[in-house]
Order: sequence, then C-alpha cells, then structure tokens
Amino acid sequence: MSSNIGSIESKIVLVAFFWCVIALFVQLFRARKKSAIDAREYSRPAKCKNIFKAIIYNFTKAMSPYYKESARLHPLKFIMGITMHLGIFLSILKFIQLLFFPWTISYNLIISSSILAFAIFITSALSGVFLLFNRIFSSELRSISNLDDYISIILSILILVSSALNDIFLMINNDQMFLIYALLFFYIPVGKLRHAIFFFAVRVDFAKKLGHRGVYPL
Amino acid sequence: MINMIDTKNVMDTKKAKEILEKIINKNGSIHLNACVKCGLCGKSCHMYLSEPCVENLPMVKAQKVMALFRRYHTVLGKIMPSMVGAKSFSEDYLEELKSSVFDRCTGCGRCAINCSIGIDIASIIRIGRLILNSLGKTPQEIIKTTENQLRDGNQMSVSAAEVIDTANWLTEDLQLETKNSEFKIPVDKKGAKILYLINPREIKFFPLSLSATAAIFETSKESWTIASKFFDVTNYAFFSADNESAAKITKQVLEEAQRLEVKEIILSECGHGFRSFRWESANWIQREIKFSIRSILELILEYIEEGKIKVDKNKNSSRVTLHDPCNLVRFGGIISIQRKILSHVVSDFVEMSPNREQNFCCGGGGGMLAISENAKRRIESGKIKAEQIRATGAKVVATPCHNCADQLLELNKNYSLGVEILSISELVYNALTHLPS
Repeated sequence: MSSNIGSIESKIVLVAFFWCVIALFVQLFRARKKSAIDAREYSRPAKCKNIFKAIIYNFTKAMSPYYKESARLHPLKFIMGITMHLGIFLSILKFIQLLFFPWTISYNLIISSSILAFAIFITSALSGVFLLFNRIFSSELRSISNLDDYISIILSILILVSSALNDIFLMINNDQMFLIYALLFFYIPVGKLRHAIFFFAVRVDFAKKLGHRGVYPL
Repeated sequence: MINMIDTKNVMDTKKAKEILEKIINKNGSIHLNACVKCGLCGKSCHMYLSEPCVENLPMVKAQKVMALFRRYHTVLGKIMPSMVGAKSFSEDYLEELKSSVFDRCTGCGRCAINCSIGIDIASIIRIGRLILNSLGKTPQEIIKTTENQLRDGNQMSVSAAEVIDTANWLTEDLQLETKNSEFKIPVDKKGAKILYLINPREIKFFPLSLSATAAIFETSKESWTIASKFFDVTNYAFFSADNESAAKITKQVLEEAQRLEVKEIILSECGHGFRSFRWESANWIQREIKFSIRSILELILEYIEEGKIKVDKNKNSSRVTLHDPCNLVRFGGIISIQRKILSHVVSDFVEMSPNREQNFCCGGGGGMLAISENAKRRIESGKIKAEQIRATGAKVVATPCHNCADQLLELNKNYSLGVEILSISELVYNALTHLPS
C-alpha cells in the first residue's frame, strides 16, 4: 500500500500539486472582503430566506439548460464544455490515484487502465479541441482572447490526451504523464485556470446574496 | 516615455492604484478571478442583442474592470500583462471603462444569472463605476442629480411648497372623483404608522400614480403620510456607486422617518429605489435599520388578502402584460407579489416571454435615462423589450417602476406599440369596487 513517489518526475509533480493547491487557497483567502465590517450583511433578510437551499439551487437547477439561457442557446458548446470538464475531473482523480494510491489500480476503477477510461479521456480531449478551434475561428472570441486563454485550454487537452494514452498500453508512462501534469499544476494558479476554485466560490457568494434577498432558489 | 508626450494620458496612477486597492479590499475580488471568457453571455444582454458587437458583450465590459485587477493584483498581470489581458491605468483606458460600465450597461444582471460560471457581472460593473467615481469620472448628469438629492432632499429638486401644493390639488381631485370628502394625501403627519416614499416623478409627471396609491391607503383606512422634504424613494448615488453619498441620502430619509415618528417605511413603485433602500442602504450606513421597509406592492397584496380593499378584476378588462424591473425582481426578490395582485385586479393578463428573473431590461436602468448622450443607444437597446411587448398583444403594460415607465413611454412612441403604461397601483385603483366607476 505504498505511494508512487520515487522518481524525480513524481517529486516534481508532487511539488507542483501542492503549489497549486496552496496557491489557490491563498488567492481565495485574499479575494475575500478584508474587514469584518465590509463582510457583514446589515439588511434584514427576506422572510423566505434560505441560504442553504439557494446554494444548492445555484449548483444544480441554476446550471441546467432549462434555467440557464447561455447553456440552452449554445447546446453544442455546453455539451463540449461539460464533457471536457468531466474528463479533467477524472484525470485529476486518476493522477491522485496513480501518485498516492497506486495499489488501488488493481481494483479496476473506471479512472485508470481501462478502455472506458480511455474513451472518456479521448472524448474529453476532442471536446477540448473543439473549444480551442472555436476560440481560434470565431472572430469575436479570437478578438478577446490572450495567450493565457490558449495556454489554459492546450494544457487541459494535453493532460486529457496523456491520461488517455497512459490508459492504452502505457503509450505514455506514468513519469512522462506526471511531467505534463506538473506543467498544468504550476500554471493553474497564475492563469485563468484558477477558476477551478473560484467557480465554486462565486456560485456560493452569488447564491448567498440572492438567497438573502429571497430571489434564489427559484 | 509615451506618457511624457501624450499629455492626455498623464494621470495620477499612484492614486488610482491606491483607490483600486481600497475598493478590492472592501468589495473582495472573488468574482474578478473567475471569468473564463467563454463569450456565452452575449445573448443574455439586451444591449448586445440590439447591437451585436464585441464591446457590448457583458464579459468584455466586465473584463475592463478585471484587466485593471489583473494588472496590479496578479503575478502574470504584473510581469507579462499582455499575456493575461491586463491593463494599466491611463486616461484613455478610463474612457474605455466609462464607455463599458456607463454607456453600454444598465447593470440589469441578466448576464449574471446566465453566466456559465455564475459570476455576478453586475457587481463587477459596479466596481468599475466605483473606480470611475473615485477618480471623478462619473457622467455629469448622474453627479448633478445626486447633488440635487443631497442638497434638496430629492433628485428633481422639488421644493416642499410644491409637494404640499400637489398634495392639496390631488386631494381635491381625489375627493371629487371618489365622492369621498374624507380622502386626503397627508403631508408631514407626525405619528402616522407609515412614511410613504415616492418618486419625485410622481409629483412632476405621474400624479395619477400618487393619487391612486392615496386612494388605496385611504380606502384601507391606513395611517400614512408623505414627507415634504425627504420624500424621495430613489437614490441616484446608487448608479454612480458613490456609496458615501448613498449613505448620506439614506440617513436623510431615516432621520425624517424618525422625526415623523413613523413605524414603517413603504417604498413606492421604483426598481432601484426598492433595491437601494431595502437591500443596500443598511450596508451603506453600516448598521441595521430599525424601521420595517417594504414595497407598496407587499402592502397592497396584504390589503387585498385581508379584505381591507375590495377589487373587481372585470374593471380592468383590456389585456395587460407585466414588465419586471430588474432591481425589483432579479436583485430585489419581489417576483410573485405583483403577479398575485394582477390576478386579483386584471381579467386578461398575459406574461411576456421571457419573464420574472429572466425578463429583459427595458434599457432605461442603471442611470441610462439620465445620461442624455446615450439616448439613441438606450432607445435602440429597448428594441428587445418592445418586441416582447408587441408579442403579447397587450393594450396595457403594467410596471412597478417609474424609471421603467419613462423608458417604456419612449419605446411606446418610438416603436409604435400603441399601449398604455400604468403602475400596479393605478390598476388596483381602477379595480376598487366601492369607488364610483
């Protein structure tokens, strides 16, 4: 039941991983309102106030195409986006499994060493490629994109591809894959990929505001 | 070097950075960190739909604020600004920011509830306005209106004598119309239960709205009063995000309520007035407000449900549709109350599509009505609302906001809609059963 931390690559990715986690939480901490006075809500809450329900709503129904117009009006981009993000979550799980719990691989979990995992990662990677091309070929999106936008999506595609290739006949071995993951982890906190944590923070924050006023849940 | 030649671009960036730092500390930067620039918010914005250009994308408007944040508060923004689209303070950039947050956005927040990430884009726009206000870049019309409110107690500088005079002739009219000599509009009545805050437009342009509410109060035998000086439900400092002035305006009204020894403050039909007073004002003055604060809509529904007023929906037989003011609905939580009232007082009601929290802004919010140079864009951006109204086939558009009513009147004229714009109170007044038809 030992971990996979031994090679220099695994040590690099370990450092990158902890840098990523710590940097994200430090940024999140710094992004809060600074004084207790500013953070306090003085208005009387709505009679129907239920912050907990509002938060649950904002992470469930509010994100569904039925309620969220941006998803409903752009179904293809919505599906591609969801598919890519599912793949990324799975690839992070796969990374954690490989680095910290390699002994669990023998349990044939979906996230590693299976045709299903390969299919998921490749589909997610293709979704990422679609979104990358969309950014390149849509004049509107291209005009508002910076290097950060391209690096972010390319790194995401790279980890999905490396996860997929690692699943099939180990075309990329663990150490090579770890190096690609390390690149991603080093980059996440400095570019727009930090939405990995701020996504959750903004949804909670907005739900608290609208929940207090009785707007959410709808 | 460029700054040395281009005098237009010379500005006190040190001061600007300090202001930004202060604003970030006070407001937090959670929402400034989360945008992925997916661009899916465009179709949720009435401004973008009526003029589909990159500058009108909600995300691009918000990015104008985020770019400053990134420049001074993120690692890559400090060392490689172009890589992350970070921008430094300059006079030219502030003009771009001003165009984005004042000329191209009403802060309606429709993009926020439809944002793929869930970012409160409207609050970012407010941060942009806060930056501009701190640097003295707020549009003059909004500054002047705020000054009126601070100096004279109301945004239109209506004098106390004018208020009393209007209340007197409205009382006479009301008594004639209702054949009830006891009906009156009390002014500065000490010890009344309710202080009713009105929009100065009701004194100047929409007296029938005040008259209708007065009839509702009197019919229900309510103890109420309006104030002759600090009667204004609006708070123009809200539009410029001038929180200091907003707090002063709030305090003026609260002191008036205290002086008149009322128990409750009831807010007239005004979107931003409701949001300001109900949700923002306590935070501006940084203490809880001891008075209960409610919208007139909440009170009217209470009167109907408790049988204090009797209504007959057949008295309003024309088809009626409802415009949802953004600040009252999306940011205020008054969503079903106006619908419940209309179900009692209107026989043929039809919803716009989309409606409620998804309703489109009329185009006149966020101070847009006050900025004369934006008039053309404001009317064009109202095209979405005009199409919504036309599709309902309604003859009457009810809206619980005098600001929206102003814009809807212009849309009615410009898009030849042939509708009547009424407040909810006016429809309730029409439906009162024990008044002569």
